[in-house]
Amino acid sequence: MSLGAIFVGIAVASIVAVYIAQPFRHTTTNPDALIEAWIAKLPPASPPTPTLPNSPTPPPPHSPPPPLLHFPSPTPKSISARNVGGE
Amino acid sequence: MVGNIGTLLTGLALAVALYAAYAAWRGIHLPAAQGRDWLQSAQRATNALAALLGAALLMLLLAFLTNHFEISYVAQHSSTVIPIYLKISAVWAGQEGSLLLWCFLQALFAALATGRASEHARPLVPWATFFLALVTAFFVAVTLFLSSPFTLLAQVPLEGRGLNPLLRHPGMIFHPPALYVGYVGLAIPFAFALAALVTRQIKEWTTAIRTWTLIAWLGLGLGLLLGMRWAYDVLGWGGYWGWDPVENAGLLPWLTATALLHGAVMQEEKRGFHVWNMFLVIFSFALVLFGTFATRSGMIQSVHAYTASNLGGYFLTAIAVTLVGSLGLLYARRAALKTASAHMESLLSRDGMFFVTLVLFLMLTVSVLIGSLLPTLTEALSGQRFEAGPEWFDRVTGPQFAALVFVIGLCPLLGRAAATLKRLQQVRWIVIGGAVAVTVGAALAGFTDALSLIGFALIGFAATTTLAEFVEGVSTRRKRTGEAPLNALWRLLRLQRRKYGGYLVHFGVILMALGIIGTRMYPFETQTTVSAGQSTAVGKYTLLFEELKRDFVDDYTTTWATVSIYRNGVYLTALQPRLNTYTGTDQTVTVPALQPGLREDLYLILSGWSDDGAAVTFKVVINALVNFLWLGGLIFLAGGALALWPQMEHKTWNTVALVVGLALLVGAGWAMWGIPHGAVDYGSGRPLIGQAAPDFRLSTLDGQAISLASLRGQVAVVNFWASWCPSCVDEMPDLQSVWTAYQGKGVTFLGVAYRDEEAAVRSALAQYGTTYPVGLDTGDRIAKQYGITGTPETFVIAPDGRVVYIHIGPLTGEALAAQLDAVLK
Repeated sequence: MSLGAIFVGIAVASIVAVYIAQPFRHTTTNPDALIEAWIAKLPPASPPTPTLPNSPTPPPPHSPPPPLLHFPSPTPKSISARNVGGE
Repeated sequence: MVGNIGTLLTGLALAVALYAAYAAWRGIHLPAAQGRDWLQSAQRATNALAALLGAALLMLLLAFLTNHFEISYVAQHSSTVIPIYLKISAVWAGQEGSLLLWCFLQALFAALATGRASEHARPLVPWATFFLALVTAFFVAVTLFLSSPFTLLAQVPLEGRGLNPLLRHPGMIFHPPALYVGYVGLAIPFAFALAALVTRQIKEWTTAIRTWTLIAWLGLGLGLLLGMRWAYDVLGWGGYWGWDPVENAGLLPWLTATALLHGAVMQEEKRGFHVWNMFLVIFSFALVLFGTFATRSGMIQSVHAYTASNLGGYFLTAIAVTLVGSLGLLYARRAALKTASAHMESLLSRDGMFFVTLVLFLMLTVSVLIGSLLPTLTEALSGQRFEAGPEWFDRVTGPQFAALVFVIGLCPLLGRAAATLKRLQQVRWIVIGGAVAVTVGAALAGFTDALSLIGFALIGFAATTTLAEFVEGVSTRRKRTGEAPLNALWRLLRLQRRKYGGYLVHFGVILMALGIIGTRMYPFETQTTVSAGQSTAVGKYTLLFEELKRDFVDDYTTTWATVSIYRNGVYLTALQPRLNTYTGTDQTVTVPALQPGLREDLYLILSGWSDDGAAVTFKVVINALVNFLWLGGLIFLAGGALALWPQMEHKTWNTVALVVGLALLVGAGWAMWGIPHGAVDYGSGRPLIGQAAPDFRLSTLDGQAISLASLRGQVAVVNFWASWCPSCVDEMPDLQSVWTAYQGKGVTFLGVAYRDEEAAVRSALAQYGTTYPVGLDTGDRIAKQYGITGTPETFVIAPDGRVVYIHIGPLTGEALAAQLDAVLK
């Protein structure tokens, strides 16, 4: 059996294995559980922590849309302040 | 590389199939929360299985298309010279490839049936996945370990052996896949039925898999029809169904599947038949395995069977496991099945007639099975093989099929027993009228055998009641909506697909019955030998043998005879039956030619010829009413497709489905009647001996205008020739000498120069010293009147204007003189 065929076989077997095992993966990589665990690890903070628009925490409902940060902002502080103000 | 990848993919498929069964099993037995993951994984494994086997099949196709002769299977069934469409059909031309196709279809159907299960089917899916994975694993294991299409050769041949000549037919691209759709399709209802038994949800499983049963049934029906047509067009024995064991192997599960479809209707209407349906679905699947065993074990000898292999034992074991396991399960659930059964009102009621239908189908199945096994059984028991031939099958199954047609006729009238009787009374005159009309029509067409007339009456009865159902439906709809008749029919078919699809199937079967009566009860077959230019009468047909030719094509030599066909003395067409000899294998294949007609087909087979090609032997078969069989088959398929047609919300998809369906039907019709099956149209035929010679006017080169009518009272010799035709100029001195000898005895010669130029003709005449009148046939006018197919041809016309002698090819002076002497006497 040629080496190429063996490689193709291994590649196909890997893809199939990943596809078939997909239903079992949620127990270890449940994103909700990961976020909950991450939040639980955070020290309790008294003042509200300023957040950047690309923070993993989703914005609360009806919040104004975050500003578009196509370029590094020259005044990150003011953006943070505006976000805090928005909340 | 291609072969190795194919083997790896098949091996991987086996592992995935076993995993799918294991995952389904675990998913069923674990608590719901954990089990759900396993069941989802099993579903994904089933999908992956279909993809892997599809990829393996593509690898095999690639190997055929790119001539990978290092793969033994490709080397055995292909070559560089066969066209692409034959390379595609060669993929399943042998046992190994056909098994891989089987595996792929099985996996694909399993993935679709379990992944897109209806609401009724969903509770049964886990167990169905388990059973289907096991079935697929069995077939994949057989393919991988016992009959792999990817086995490599130690020495790579430069050229393959080519495809079996018998399989070189476009229909062979579709015939095996269609049959396999039927075979593997029946595994779906089987798996769901077993799941229903295991889970004790025995009431609604038929509804859950109705579509799959229909697909399998329709696939088998299409496969059988294509096989019949292939036998008719290719095998060249004059028939379409020889009760061959392999044909029977396809028919048996179709019979039980038909019964199952009827039983399922009753179960869905909550009228019982639970046990019947379980038996039918189990036996349908067991018969599928039996068919596979029969064609691959070497148990039977047939043109359709694969070569004997060592697979027989495995399939026999699979049949035993299937029967013992499923019947055991059925027995264990007998109590639940018993409580679900209902009581029948009367035999004349709807459920009563469905019961009769099931019994008839079962009797037919048993009869055909016994007939198929008789040679093996008698040989095992007494040491002597008793072959149950077509006569045996016709005698045994004929009355049963007749009873089925009668039941089909009763079907539209059925309701409750009292209502059925009342309905029968209401429509009795219409029904009797229909039966009498068909019988009288058949008798007037010459079909007067008493037994066949009973059959025609039954057909008339069944056709009338079935068509009346359409008429009544349209008329009721028109009264309600005021639609035009065709519009009302169209909407009726669209809105009640299942009901009218069923009736269309019935009508198709009725027409097929007409074809079966015609071909089975009025067989005509004869063998005749004729010389070039001579004619022979076969019934109302006259066959005039023109010439025999030979040509070399790719890897075979083809020899064909041209025969002009006349019916009641009127020219119809010219047929060219062939005999192909394949150089590699020395295998000869007869390619029949046929002239189709509503009353009958004239079917011509070239059986042999003399060394010099001057005389040929034909087998002539007249197949009465055979086209009703094909027409009925198409209507049958259309009805099945209508019943299967899904309710799609998008109008576009409905239109697409309709267009595709109609295109397939038109394509099938074109393949049957549109393609000239060995027919060549020369425009007009030559006059037969004894017929009046067509009159013509010829302007000769010396400036005269001679009409044939003006030669009345003399013997006329009309010679078609050309200066560019060597055999024509060869015979010119002979003709001139006869002309010289007979010109004073009331004989006139006329030379008709065919597709020639004046200068060349004048030069030839001068060279050979021809003195009789010769003229140019401008625009092939006279040649067409005389239906000549080449030069030279000579006609001798008696003083009364009738043709008395025709000679095709070069003529000697002695032969012509002898003919003239005979006429002058």
